[in-house]
Formats: sequence, structure tokens, C-alpha cells
Amino acid sequence: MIKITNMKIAITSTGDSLESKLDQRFGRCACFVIYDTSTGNIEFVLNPNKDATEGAGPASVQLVASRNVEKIISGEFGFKVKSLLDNLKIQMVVLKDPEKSIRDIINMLKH
Amino acid sequence: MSPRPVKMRRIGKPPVISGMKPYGFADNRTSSGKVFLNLEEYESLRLCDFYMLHQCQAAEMMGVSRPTLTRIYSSARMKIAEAIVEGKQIVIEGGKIYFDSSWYFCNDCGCFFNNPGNKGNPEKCPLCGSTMIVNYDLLPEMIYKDPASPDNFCYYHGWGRKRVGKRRRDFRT
Repeated sequence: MIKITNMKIAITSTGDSLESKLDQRFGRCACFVIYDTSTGNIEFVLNPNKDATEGAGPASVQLVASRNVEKIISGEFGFKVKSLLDNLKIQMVVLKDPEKSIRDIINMLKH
Repeated sequence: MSPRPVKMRRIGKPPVISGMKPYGFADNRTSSGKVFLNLEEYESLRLCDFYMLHQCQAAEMMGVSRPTLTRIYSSARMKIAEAIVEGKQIVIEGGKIYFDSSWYFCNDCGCFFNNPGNKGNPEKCPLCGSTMIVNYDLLPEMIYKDPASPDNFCYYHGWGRKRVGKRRRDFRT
């Protein structure tokens, strides 16, 4: 693969540990896991929009985009979020498996 | 009371032209007005008449109800008939729509993904790196139902039934 260096991937998580499960919502997930494929660095970012009544999706997009993420793994994306991410050229990966833990997903990404 | 706001309609692919012009008027006119075809009407024609999908499938792909799709579609046909009969120019513009990039499905890990910004088709699944990926024209939340299978019975018209004399183009290319 070309240009795999310095790629950051965001994963929505239900908690701030590697054993937490993949959160099926994007905007209101508990925590974002920012995984850097080049350094293997894993960072947990708590989502301030967790209990927002409105506009959680766009606010989360802003949070994630500010960290120069190129790919987001979540269970579902709302349509506001979809059009925003399309414009930002961030790839969306939808994985409908609430039983997958963050550790599993990071292992999959290491393929 | 104000009416309920119109739902956003999903457009899979923007049209390749922005309109069409008539030529060769019988009475030496140069123009005879315009017909404005909305993008959602264009999309309904693309799905129903070009890809020959059932209206309920087309409705699902555009994210509206089947009756709404029928309304959009009949308005599209009326506009096109008007353009042909009265020799009007067709302008494709407007409409309450959003574009959606195409989606792919990985047969290995079962994830859906899109490919924004990159031209051409992706070769590998971004999650597990498998090459067992297929193109999807539907959103991940709408699981594609094979119209040929009798298990996937449509509530409106019954997709499970065999259709005679009509062949669908493959819309997942």
C-alpha cells in the first residue's frame, strides 16, 4: 500500500479502555479512540456531546476532524454526519457488531 | 399550521448533463420555454425507467416512502411529456436532495464502507484488508434484498414474483 504512514483512525467506543465495546452510535458515543497506524499510539478522547439533545453529530465531526482523522469506524452515521464527512473526505466504516471490543478492531486494522 | 417539511431525498449519482435542448421546430421557432426537472425527479427516472427497479425498491434507495416516490416519478413523467409535446427545453436543477457517495461491503468482516475523495474502486477492505469486497448502491442501514428470491416479499407489490418481458440493468456497477 502507498501512503499508509501517519494515518489516524477514529473508533467509537462505549468506554475508555481497550476492552470496551464498539459504540453503535457516532454522535453520542461515550468515547473516541484515536489510533495511529504509523506509531501504534492509542488515545482516548471522551465525547463531550454524549448527552447533547441536538447537533451531537456535527459537533463530534468537528472534534474528530480537528485531530486529522482519515477513517472513522462506528455502527451508524446520521445523514447530516454523512454529508459532512463526505465533504471532509473522511472515510466511514460501518460495522454492525456491538460485541466487538476496541482491542479486536485494532487487531483487525493491523492486518 | 405549516405543512410538514419535505424529507431530504438521496441521489446516488448526479446527472451527466444539466439539461436537454430540442431541435428542428416545425414552425421555425427558436425556443419555446423551459421545463425544470428536479434532481429527485431525475433520480426517480434513473431508478425506475433506466434501471427498471420496482417503485418500492427505488423509494428505499432514495430514502422516501413508496407513495412519495410514485408522486415524484409521475411528476417527472408529466414534465418530460410536456417537454417533448411542446418542444420545451429540459433543465435539470433544484430539489430537496443530498448526494451520497457509493458504498461497499466486505464479505469477510461484514463491514460497510465508502470511499470519499478517491477516484476509482477500492481494492481492500479498510478494516480487515480482505479483497472480498462488493459494491453496494444502498445505504448500510438498508440491507439489499435480492428481488429474485421469494423470501424477500415486498409489502407493496411483491418482489418475489417473477416478472415477464422486462430485464433489469445491473444497478450495482
